[in-house]
Amino acid sequence: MSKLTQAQITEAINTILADKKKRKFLETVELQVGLKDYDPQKDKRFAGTVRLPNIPRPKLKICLIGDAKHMQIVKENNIAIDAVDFDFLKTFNKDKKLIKSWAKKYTILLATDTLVKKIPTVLGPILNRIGMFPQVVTHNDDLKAKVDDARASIKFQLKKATCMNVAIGNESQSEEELRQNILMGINFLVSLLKKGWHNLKSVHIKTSMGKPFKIIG
Amino acid sequence: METLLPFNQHSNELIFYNKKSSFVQQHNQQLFPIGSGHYPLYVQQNLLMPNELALANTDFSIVLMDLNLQGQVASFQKEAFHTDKINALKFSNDHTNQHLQHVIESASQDGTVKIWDRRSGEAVSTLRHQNSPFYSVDTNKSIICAGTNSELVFWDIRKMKPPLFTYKSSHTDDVTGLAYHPENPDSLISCSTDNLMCQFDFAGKENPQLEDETLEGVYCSSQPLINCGFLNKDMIWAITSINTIEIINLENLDVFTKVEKFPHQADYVIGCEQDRFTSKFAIYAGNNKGELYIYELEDKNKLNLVDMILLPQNPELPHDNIIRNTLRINSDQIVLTTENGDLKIFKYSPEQAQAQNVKSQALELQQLISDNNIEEDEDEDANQMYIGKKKNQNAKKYKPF
Repeated sequence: MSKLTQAQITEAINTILADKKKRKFLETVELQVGLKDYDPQKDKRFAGTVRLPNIPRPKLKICLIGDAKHMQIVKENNIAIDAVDFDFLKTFNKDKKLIKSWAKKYTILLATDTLVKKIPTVLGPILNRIGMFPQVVTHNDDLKAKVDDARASIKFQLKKATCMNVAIGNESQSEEELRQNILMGINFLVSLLKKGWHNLKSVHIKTSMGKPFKIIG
Repeated sequence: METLLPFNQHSNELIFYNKKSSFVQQHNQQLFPIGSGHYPLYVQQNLLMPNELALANTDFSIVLMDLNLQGQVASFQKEAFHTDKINALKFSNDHTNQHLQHVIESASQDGTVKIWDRRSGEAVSTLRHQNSPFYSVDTNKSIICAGTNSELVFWDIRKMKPPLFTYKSSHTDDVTGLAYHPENPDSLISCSTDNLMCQFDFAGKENPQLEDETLEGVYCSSQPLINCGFLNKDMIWAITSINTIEIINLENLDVFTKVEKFPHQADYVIGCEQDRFTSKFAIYAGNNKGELYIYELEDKNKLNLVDMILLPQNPELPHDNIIRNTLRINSDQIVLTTENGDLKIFKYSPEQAQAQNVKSQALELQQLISDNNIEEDEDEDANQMYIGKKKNQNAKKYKPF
């Protein structure tokens, strides 16, 4: 099995995009990967987060728990995220239901590095429990870039079965953007595998409701 | 440049177990039948009896090996073996208690944590919790803690069943690493594939069963974490699933440094630990060609290569030689286990490499921690040459059999 050629991916993207019907929502482009020669009982854990070059899910709602400086940056630069300050968290008074319903409005939480340490003491472990513990932003980081990073990151994780499925883009993206994302995603996967490309059994891409198209396998 | 290269010729392997070599073959037949494809997943050393190693194998067995008796092995009770992948193995290493000093714990995917007596090979106790698989285990002198696919479960060591309490909220995914502080039995860290590392403090807490009270801090990484441990009493290391290492201050959970790139062609991190003999932070990294690099972290952003080991390649089975475990058993020996079922002991001789390192200031190998990759191209070339050279040298002189 050889590496992917650009033409192969282009063809696949065109096929799945041409094949789709009009839906009432923005369809996601998904990457499905099957592995071979990989034994979950023996081999090392296979997981990782990769930042894609183009944001696959532009509408993700993000909330920043920021200190004064970060709040100002959000206002001045018109970054499209919600921002709350630390006192807001205190108003929850450790009420789990309130915290949960607030946090569930968002997909990702961010927090200033100095505040993130105090969060467990103010909110308790509830954010861990719903898998929403904030990612850290320092004052040295570019907040805008950090927000984009958060939106563009996808997580691969292999459980017991040797196949997995991740969102790699959406139908509104251009073929070029999709191709970059797919290449980046597959290359990242391959870099984590013991035998590289030899571990890939099959790779399909599909839109949420469309038919899968085989790239490898 | 050739004269400056650190060169360490591993001519002094003390014992060499290999299923293909005629030497001590009978031991290996006991371990794994030839061609079975099984190999040890974890190796631990009994710190109280340094010649004893415990191996957890891919065929779900656990054995003890005595290095003094040329690697004679004693198998634990077969009937009591785990029935699925073993995810963690630990000696209790408690010399103050005459009962606990013989205890080995193992955690497995089959939903059990077993407590073994190393003298008889008996499974003294089998702990379960709602049939969830266990991914990690550790103990201080009174409590056993094990991590499942989302919980931490605590048992009292004197009264095994039922669990004392469980922590359900801290993690949402497999708890892959657990470590009690080496000196403070009230301090515990846990890491998980949900990217979080939690730190708990039980000291003086009235209700240790409430995790709200004991949860001291949470660190959020950008990658799933697969192992963690303490360094220098005031720092924590964590290995991520994409083979980087993060070192965090215990006090305020600030990132001290991140090791993201290695100066040589290392494909994965095998492990890291605070070297018991030099008290430096040692990192073991391997690659898919069966090479092992041992680094020491000099300071915040300097890695020193202190030793390297090259295993002979079998061209028919190119991925056979992947090193899965490294363990310093004493100040000058290192144990390796590979995916073809071998357990090898090499002489660890960092001084040689280090002495050479001092001379070789021209060859800047160190680098490569996070942001310091400015002169990358140049360095890479040098490293490529270095690696190539190294292999040739080894190819000539390296004769393990």
